[in-house]
Amino acid sequence: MPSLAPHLPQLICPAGSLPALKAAVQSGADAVYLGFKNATNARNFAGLNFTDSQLKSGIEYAQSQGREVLIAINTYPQAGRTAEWQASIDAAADLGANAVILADLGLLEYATRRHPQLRRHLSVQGSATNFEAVNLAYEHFGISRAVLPRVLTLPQIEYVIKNTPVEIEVFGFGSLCVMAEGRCILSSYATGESPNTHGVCSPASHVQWLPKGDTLDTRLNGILIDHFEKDEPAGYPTLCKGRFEVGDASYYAMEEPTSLNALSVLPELIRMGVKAIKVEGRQRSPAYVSEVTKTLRAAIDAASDPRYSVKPAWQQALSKVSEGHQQTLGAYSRPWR
Amino acid sequence: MNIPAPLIKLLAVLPETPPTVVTVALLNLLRKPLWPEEDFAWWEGRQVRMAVSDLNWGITLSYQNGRFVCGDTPADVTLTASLADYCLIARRQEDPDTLFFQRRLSITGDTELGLTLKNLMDATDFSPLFARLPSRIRMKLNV
Amino acid sequence: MQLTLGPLLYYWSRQATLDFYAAAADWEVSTIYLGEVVCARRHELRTSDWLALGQQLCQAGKTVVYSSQALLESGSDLSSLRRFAKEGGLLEANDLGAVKIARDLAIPYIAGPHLNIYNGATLDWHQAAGAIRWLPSLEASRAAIVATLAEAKLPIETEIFAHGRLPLAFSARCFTARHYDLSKDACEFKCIEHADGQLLKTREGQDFLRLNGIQTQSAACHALIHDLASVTNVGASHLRISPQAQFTAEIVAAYAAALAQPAAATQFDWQRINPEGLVNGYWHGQAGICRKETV
Repeated sequence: MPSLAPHLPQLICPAGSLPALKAAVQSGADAVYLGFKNATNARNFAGLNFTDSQLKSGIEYAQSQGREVLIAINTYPQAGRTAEWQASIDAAADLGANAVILADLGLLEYATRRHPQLRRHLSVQGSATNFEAVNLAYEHFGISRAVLPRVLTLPQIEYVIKNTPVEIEVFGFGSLCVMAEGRCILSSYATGESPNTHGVCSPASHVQWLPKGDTLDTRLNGILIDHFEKDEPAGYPTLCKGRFEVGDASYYAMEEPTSLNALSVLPELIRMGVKAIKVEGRQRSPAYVSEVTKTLRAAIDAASDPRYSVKPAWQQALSKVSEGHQQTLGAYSRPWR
Repeated sequence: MNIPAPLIKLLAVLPETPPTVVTVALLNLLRKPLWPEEDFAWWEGRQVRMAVSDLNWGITLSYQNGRFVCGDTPADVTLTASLADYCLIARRQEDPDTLFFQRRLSITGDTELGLTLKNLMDATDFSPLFARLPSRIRMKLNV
Repeated sequence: MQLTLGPLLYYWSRQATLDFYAAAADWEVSTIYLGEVVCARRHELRTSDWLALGQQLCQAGKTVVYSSQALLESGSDLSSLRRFAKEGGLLEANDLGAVKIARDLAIPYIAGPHLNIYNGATLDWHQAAGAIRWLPSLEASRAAIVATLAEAKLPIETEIFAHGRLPLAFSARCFTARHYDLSKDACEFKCIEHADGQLLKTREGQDFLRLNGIQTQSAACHALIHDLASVTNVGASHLRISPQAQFTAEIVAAYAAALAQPAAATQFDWQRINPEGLVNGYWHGQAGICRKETV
C-alpha cells in the first residue's frame, strides 16, 4: 500500500522496463522513476528503458493505481543535439508524466518556459550539495524537489532542509556512488564515455570479464580494474570500486563493491523532513525492484513508530541483492568521514 | 531450487542440437507476441551461447534476416550458469545481477551483447503469452 | 591568447605556497586563481591569508580570481566563499551554490570546469546570470567546445584547461585518509606529505590515477602543448596551467614560447617536466587517458 500518513516520505523506485514498473507499483512504491531509451538519461544501457508506447502504458498503469511516474532526463544535452533532450521533455509532458528529473540548466530553463505546469525535480546529477545551489534552481526554475548527492552527512542534509523551501529527496538503498554525482568523469577518462555525456558509467562495450581458471579479471578498455579469487563476491566494473596499488598497498583504494542501506537512519531522515526516499537500480531486474520495494515499504511504514528497529528479515532481503554483499551507511554515518 | 542429480546426468549426455532447434522454433513463434517493438538488429549475425555449467553443455543461438537460427561456436558472448540458476532467472525468482555478484552467473566475450540480452529478458512482459493460454491453465499457473 | 595559473589543487605548507605565488608574480600569466578548491580542512592558508596574497598579486599586475570548492557542503564552506566574493570581487564558481552567491552580490563570475556546461543554452544561461568567462568540462573534446560556442547566442570568453593533472572526481570520502587508515575528520592532514598527490597504479603496475584527498586526478598530465594550433582557433582567449610541485615556471614559459613560436613546443624536455607522461585524449574526442600524436 502507498503511504497513508502525510508526514511519511514518498518511496521512489526504479524501473528499467515495464515489468519492473509493474513490480514497483505492486510492491508499494509511491512513485516510479524511469527513462527513455536514449542518451537523455543516466542509465543509458543496452536493452534498458522505455519506448514511447511502453512509457504510455506504464504511466497509464501507475496512475490508475494512484502512483506517480517521474521521468529522468538527467544527462547533459550535448551541443548540437540539444533538440533530442528537448523532445524528450515534450514527450514526457505529452504522455502525462507527473514530473521530470533534470540536471542541465539550459534544459531546466526550456522546461520551465515550455511546460510550466510540468513539475521539475533537480536530479542528483545536478550535484546540488548545499542550500544555495538548491535555492538557485528554485528561484530560476521553480523546482519542487531536489535529489541530494550521496555525499552529505545527516546534519548536512538537515542543514539543507532548514534553509530551502524545496522538497528534499535522498537515497535509501542501492549501489553506492562513491563520488559526488555529476562531479565524476573517471569513466570517460578510461573509456571516452561518462554519465554526464553518454548516460553511462563504465560502459558495457568497454568491459571485459576474463575468467582464468577459477579466478576472474575485470578490464575496462584494457585497464585492469579488479581480480577476483574463487568464490570472492564480484561487483560492477566501476572504476571507483576496483582494487589498485597505492604505495606498497594493494586494496580497494576508493571503495569496496558495496550498497548503500539507510534503513537504520530512516526515523532520523523522517524527523528532519526528508520528503522522498529513493531506491537506486534502473539497471536491475523486476525481481530486485520487487524485493527492495517491499522491504523499503515495510520499513518506511514502520519508521514513525517510536519503537522502530530494523527487522533482521529486511536486512537479509536487502543483503541478498546487494552489490558485493556489503552494505554501508555511506556518508550518512560519521565513521565514513 | 534443486534439480535431481539423475536428471542432470541424463541431460548431460544429450547432444546440443535438439534443444537448440526446439529453442529456436519457440523463439520464432514467440517473437511477435513477446517483443512486438524489438527488431533484434543487435543480435543480427551474432552468436550468443548459453552454457550450462553443471551439464558441460549449452545452446548457441543467432538471428538472421528476421528469424532466430541455430548458432555456431565460437560465440561472440557466452553466458554461463547452472541449470538451476537459469531456472531461477527465467522464473524471475532471482535477480541476474545478484547471481553475477555471487559469481553464479558469468558473461564472457562481448559484454554489451550479453547485457543487452539480460536487459531484454528483464524487460519482457510475459503476460501476452499467458493471455493465449486456456483460462484453466492460467488459473493453475496463477498468472 | 593569455595564460592563466589555475587554482592550487594540492596541499602544500604555508611557506611553500607563499614561495610558489611569490615566484608566480613574475610569470607570464595574466590571471591567477587562488583559494582552496579541494578540501575545507586544509588550513595552511586561511581565508584572510588568501585575500592578502590576492592583494599582493594584484599589485604585481595580475588579475586575481578566487576559486570555489567543487563540493560546497557545510555552512562554513558557504560563509568563507561569501567573504571571498565580497572582499575579492571575482569568483570562479565550481558549484551552483557559488553561482548563487555571486548573483546575490551582483559580482561577475567565471564558470569553472566543474559546472557541467555542455551546450549553448546552458552557457547562455550563465552569461545572462553574470558569467564573463567559462571553462568547458575537462572531458569536452575540441569538437564539443566548438559546437557549444556555435550554439551559444551571447558573447563570452573561453578558457581551456591546457596543462595539468586532470581533477576527475570529488567524493565525500577522503582517499588519502583512507590510505593511512584514518578517518576524514582526523586525517592528520596527510595530504601535506604528497605535494603532487599519491600515484595509484593498476595491479599490473600501470600508472592510472592520483589520489589527492577527496579528489581523484589522472596520473598522467593532460597537455595541449602539441595541439596549440587547434586550441587557438576555437576562439579561446585564455589557457590554464594547473600548478604542480615542480617545474610550473618552465611549463608557463614553454606555453608562452610555443604560443609565440609554434616550433618551440618541441624544444622542452617534457620527460623531465612531466615524467608521468602527457595525454590529450579528451581534446581529440577519445578517452582522456589516450595520447594522440599531433606533432
